[in-house]
Amino acid sequence: MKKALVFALCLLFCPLLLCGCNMQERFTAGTNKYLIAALGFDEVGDEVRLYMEAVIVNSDDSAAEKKTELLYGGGKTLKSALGECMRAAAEPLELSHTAAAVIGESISAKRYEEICDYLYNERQITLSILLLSSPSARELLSCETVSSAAVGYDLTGLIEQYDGYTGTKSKCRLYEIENSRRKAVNVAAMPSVKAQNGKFSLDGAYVFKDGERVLKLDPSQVFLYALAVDLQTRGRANFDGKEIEIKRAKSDISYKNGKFYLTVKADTENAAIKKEVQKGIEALFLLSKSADVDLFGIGNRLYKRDKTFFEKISRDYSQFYQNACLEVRVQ
Amino acid sequence: MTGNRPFCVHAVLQTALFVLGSAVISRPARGADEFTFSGLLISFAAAVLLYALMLPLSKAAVLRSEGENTAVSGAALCLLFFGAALFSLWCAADAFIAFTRFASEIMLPDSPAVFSVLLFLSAVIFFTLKRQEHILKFFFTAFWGVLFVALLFFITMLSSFDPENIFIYDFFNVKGFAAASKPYLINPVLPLALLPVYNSAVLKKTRFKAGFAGIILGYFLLFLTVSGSVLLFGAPLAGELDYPYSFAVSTVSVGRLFSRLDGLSYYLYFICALCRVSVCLFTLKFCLKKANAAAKGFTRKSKPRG
Repeated sequence: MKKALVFALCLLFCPLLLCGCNMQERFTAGTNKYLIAALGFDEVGDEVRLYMEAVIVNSDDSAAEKKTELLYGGGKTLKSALGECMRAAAEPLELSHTAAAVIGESISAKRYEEICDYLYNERQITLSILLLSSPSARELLSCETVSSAAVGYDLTGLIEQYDGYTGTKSKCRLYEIENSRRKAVNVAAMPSVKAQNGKFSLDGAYVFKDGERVLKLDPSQVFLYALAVDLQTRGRANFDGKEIEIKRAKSDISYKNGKFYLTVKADTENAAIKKEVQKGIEALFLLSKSADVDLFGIGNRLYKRDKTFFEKISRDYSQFYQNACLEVRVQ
Repeated sequence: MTGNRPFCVHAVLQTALFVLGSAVISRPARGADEFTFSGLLISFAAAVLLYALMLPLSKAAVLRSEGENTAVSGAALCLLFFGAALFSLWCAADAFIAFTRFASEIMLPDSPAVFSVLLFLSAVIFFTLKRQEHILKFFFTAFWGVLFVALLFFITMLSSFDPENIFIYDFFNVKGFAAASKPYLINPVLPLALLPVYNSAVLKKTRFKAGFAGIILGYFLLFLTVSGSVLLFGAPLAGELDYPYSFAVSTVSVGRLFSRLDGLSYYLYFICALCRVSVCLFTLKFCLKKANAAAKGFTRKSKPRG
């Protein structure tokens, strides 16, 4: 029995050691390791610009101070930009610890699809990396670091901190974005991070429809959006300049006799806020109509419940959405 | 352990690992949709049914092979055992290929694939040469690590799960349920047909209750792993991935220090694939022996007298 136990433990560590060997093999080629913390994508004309924030770790001296370097590569395709980045590093790049990918505002819908495909197919990158939007990816990744060795890791800290405080879940991980790309109506929201004077801060969110940036939400609208699509569970939120506390929130969209009903159950001490929230969500719905984007995921809900009906309306979904009526109830 | 029911618990745990086998690497399969969970449940019922059907059949076949047989029954037995041997070989090869492909693509991407094949092959050969009592003891011990890993990842992924990923609105979609259960019926259900033969050969008993308990435990673990990837990614995305559970666990991070814990899950794949391959290879050996013995008896009886 003891022998079997020892053998089982050896086997437990065997795969780990083997992977360790694999990593060692990747790194012993040079003395510096290029751990990529974040990827940034901008587009100028028909050229994509790829930025990689690399944390350079000296494998001979782990105690040495870690330097960061912003690698750059440009090209007509992402592949060529990536090749240029690799040449700039002169050492193998380690993408398995990449924390975030920043999509610059200049990125077109076609390029967005190409970027998502690359991130999804690159096996070293985990599906949990954050996808964030920023006016300029280069500018954001050039900011000063705050609490870690790289801006990429600081950005994940910022989103976690925001989620923890406000209770607003950001569905911007790569697998969540990929999941929305596979849905009947491809709409995703990404937190927007702006850089100013070498510092960065959250600045609402961008809504993407089929890879195209169609709507910008300010922090108050992000809160209303999160309430409507059941991403707001609890926490504090800034609403119209006032900070309110939500103890528990739950929402559901139903469809009956050609009309949609959005029921939001928000457990808050301030009753007057409920009325304002109702008005705010109604206004957001009208805004989404003007931007022609199914912000609340009505189409996906319909598709799940009745595929035949959705297939009928999908030919002219835009028209269907424009004619849709939504009754908001905040309880 | 050596009382009235020797190796009873061992058989339960080994059966559980056998159920997971290579299914834990590749399930949910391509084309998975919201029905994938229901497919898993349907396959569980099929697994229990198949095991219940195979128990008396394997028991009878093994008993008949030990006694005197007529030419016809000898030929039938020979064919039956030869068919079972071929099926064992297919199951072993399937699990072997699934694991070595995973190892060369995910665990050791920079090493040649032959390296992963040789490593796993050496482990398989080592296990094939060992006595089955030792193998049972080994899997009894190794099981707890598998349980720990599966529970650990399920718990750490809990907060990221989206229950909407498994909501079914169309309960009358028979086609959907049938299509979703098909991959599970191929793996892990089909290989379970070999377990009663294995139990008859090793434990000299069919182990009725132990087999069922093992299937329930194995399915519980499979449920944990499949639900991990489906609740996290959604069935369509999980089904598109080559190794859904592996990609799901790669998203787990505990604090900033432990950002990649996938290494732990490799233990689970290794043990489960090893269990499937070693059991199938032993069953192959046993079936070939029985087929050979039946063939000898059959040819002796077929020779004209005089």
